[in-house]
Amino acid sequence: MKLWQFLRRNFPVLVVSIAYLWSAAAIFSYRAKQAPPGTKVTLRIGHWQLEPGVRDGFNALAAEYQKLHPEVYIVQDAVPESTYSQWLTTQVMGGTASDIIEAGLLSPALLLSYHSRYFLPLNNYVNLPNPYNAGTPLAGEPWRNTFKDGMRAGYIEELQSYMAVPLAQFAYRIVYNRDLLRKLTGRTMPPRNYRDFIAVCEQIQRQRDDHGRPYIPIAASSYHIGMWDSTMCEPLTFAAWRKLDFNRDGTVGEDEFFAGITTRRIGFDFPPFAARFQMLRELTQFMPVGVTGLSRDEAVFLFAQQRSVFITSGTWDAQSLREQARGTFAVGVLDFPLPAQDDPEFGRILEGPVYDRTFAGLPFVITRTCKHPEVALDFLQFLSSQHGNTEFNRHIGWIPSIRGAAMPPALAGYEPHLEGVSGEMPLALGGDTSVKWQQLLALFVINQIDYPTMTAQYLAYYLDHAPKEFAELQRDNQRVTIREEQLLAGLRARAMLESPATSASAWIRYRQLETDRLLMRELRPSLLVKLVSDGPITNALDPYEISPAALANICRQLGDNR
Amino acid sequence: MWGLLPMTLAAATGEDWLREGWEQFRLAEFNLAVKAFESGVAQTGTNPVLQAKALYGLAMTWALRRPGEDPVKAVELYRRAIAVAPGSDAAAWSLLAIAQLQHTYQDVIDKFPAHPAGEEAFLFQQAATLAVPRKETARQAVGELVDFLKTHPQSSYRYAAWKLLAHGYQFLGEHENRLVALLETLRAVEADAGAPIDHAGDYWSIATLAEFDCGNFAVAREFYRKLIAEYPTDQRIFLAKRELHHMADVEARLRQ
Repeated sequence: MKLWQFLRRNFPVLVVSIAYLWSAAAIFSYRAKQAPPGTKVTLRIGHWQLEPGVRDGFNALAAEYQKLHPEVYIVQDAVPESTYSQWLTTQVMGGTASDIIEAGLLSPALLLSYHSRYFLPLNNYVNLPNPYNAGTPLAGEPWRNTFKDGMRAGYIEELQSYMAVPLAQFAYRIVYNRDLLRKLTGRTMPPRNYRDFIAVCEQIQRQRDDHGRPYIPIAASSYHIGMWDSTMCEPLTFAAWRKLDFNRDGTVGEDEFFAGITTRRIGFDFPPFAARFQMLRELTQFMPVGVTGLSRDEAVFLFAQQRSVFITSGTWDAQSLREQARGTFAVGVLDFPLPAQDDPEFGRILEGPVYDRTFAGLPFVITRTCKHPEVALDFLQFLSSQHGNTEFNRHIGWIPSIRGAAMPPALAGYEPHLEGVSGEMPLALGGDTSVKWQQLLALFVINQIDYPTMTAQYLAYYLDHAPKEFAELQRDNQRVTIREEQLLAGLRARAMLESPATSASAWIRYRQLETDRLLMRELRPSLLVKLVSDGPITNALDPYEISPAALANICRQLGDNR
Repeated sequence: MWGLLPMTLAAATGEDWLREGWEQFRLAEFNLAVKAFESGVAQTGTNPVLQAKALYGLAMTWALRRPGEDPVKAVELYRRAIAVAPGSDAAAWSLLAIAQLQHTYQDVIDKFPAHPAGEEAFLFQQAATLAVPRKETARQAVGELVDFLKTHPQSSYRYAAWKLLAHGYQFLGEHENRLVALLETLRAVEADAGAPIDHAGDYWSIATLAEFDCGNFAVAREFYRKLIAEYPTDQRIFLAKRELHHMADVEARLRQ
């Protein structure tokens, strides 16, 4: 009777407890069954890359690693992208996260806090050689220097720490239908410069398919427009750098663009700005009608159905486009066709090849709950060795992140250009100007308004709203200070608590961070604020103009040397 | 969530609680940090230096936690830390923390002139002076920083002092002095194998300052070349190479 009363009273608790115990036992036994006999260490690696190539790549490299380390067994936790952030959050908070995790799909602020809370820093290892590079030209080099980007993609500025190991790089190119190009234009080779490309697009646009529908030269959508703009049109604005890079960091920030517009050092009549949108207009006429309303999949469908010849693609899409074309048509990869130097419209404006803002991706971190962090680190070093990274990217079809790692043959044409010009026209400053700009740009892209109308409307709005956004930007700068102070307080405490023998490194990091993050924080933007408050100055030197005093100094030196 | 498991609570020392408090602070678990620091304060009654550290941690938590900050309580706790062990590290850092809230940096400089907290107070004082965009105040700060660098040849804060000085010279338009200060900043960087510093931006700043403002092409060339050699994938490489050509063109034109 007592037992019955107990059961009745605690029934919900008992059901939940039994369910929990059953789940725990099931998971435990499932995981135990996965590991082959003799396994001493099971490493779990969590990521959201469900493309078949990626999982195959991990499996192949895991098998190769297990030959070297038979006691280690590697299991993948491949989670769909749509639920990855929730999965990651629950796993790290519950202390059940995989040992190695792909860091991403979270807001930057949240990801930063996860790095700080849940992932292990790699600072102690990045300056040591990667042992798996022994016998290669990278032998003996610090691990971080073996990455094409110096491991910058794994460096978290706010924490002053190397946190992640990026395993691949990405770039954009044009993918084209070789068969359709030949059929419609007779060309076996794609156009290599801008004028030829436009001529080919015009030729394609004039023709109709078996159903009488006109061919659309470029399959595009709202997703693709930005790729065309950033890789072909925006680099025409590079010359603005010379006029607007007030802090001389080598690029134009949104706040510097604002300062340039409000002090009338530059305007929308600046020829490179107008050229960017002239080129964009010329390109969009070869895209589907209402392109800004189309989704990525609709554009891919046009390409796969052979109604279009060209489409832009990131390396991550290259394999799937090739798969869709398999057995139907041959695809090729084409670099973005830039204007030749003698191009009548753009030749004098484009100052060089376009710098590929290749971004390293597939960043993996080691979680603090990892029971064998030394093994996790070793596996990541294996994956980021010259051989390992070549093999891994050969399977997944992406660009290796390690110097000297061979590109997969399928990616010929995606080799990044690491020297060149970049776009220097960051138009939006805050939320309001950004929304307004997107609205006007969408109208421009679908040919509803022209460049003078678009920029006149935007300038009126910008001059009214951007000053408030600029002030808000300064306030945001202040708001961030508290996070910096928390970080510094933690670093200072760590240095205070460590023994004198080991605290030197912690103190150095603390002092560097404090100098760059707190002491200089208000000073750097203060010069730009002053420039804005001083207003228009008609005879001011451009940031990259040799001053009369400097010129006199050069003359004096040359005279002395004669 | 506790790092110190229940079975070890009884055995936890004041120092354990301090470590636990800062770990929770780092994880932004501020309620747990407060509990740990309070336990630390309770357990360190016989050791004033350690108790001051626990009070400092507790005060920092109340000052910097978001949400739920209580600056008044924080200042009270900082003052308790100073009272418990007046000459301790924790007292020096507590006084600096009060100075940052109340802008009383001179107090720290006077009471702890040879302590890192005193040197930091001096630097924050100069940074605050430089933040006012006036030539007179900038000159005053520049003078103070020059004196500091002369009188503190061994200070660990020379990197910070040179950086502030470079900013002061920039504001005053004293380009040659700024160039010297930036070059000294590079020399004053403390080497730490665990956290290598990215100097690409520094090299670019020095090179462009030397080229466009000072007309010192030798330094400009040296640093453009360093950027190209040490950061071969930096976006500014294209620009650096162009500037090397540009300088050669300028010299050729001037020679004619």
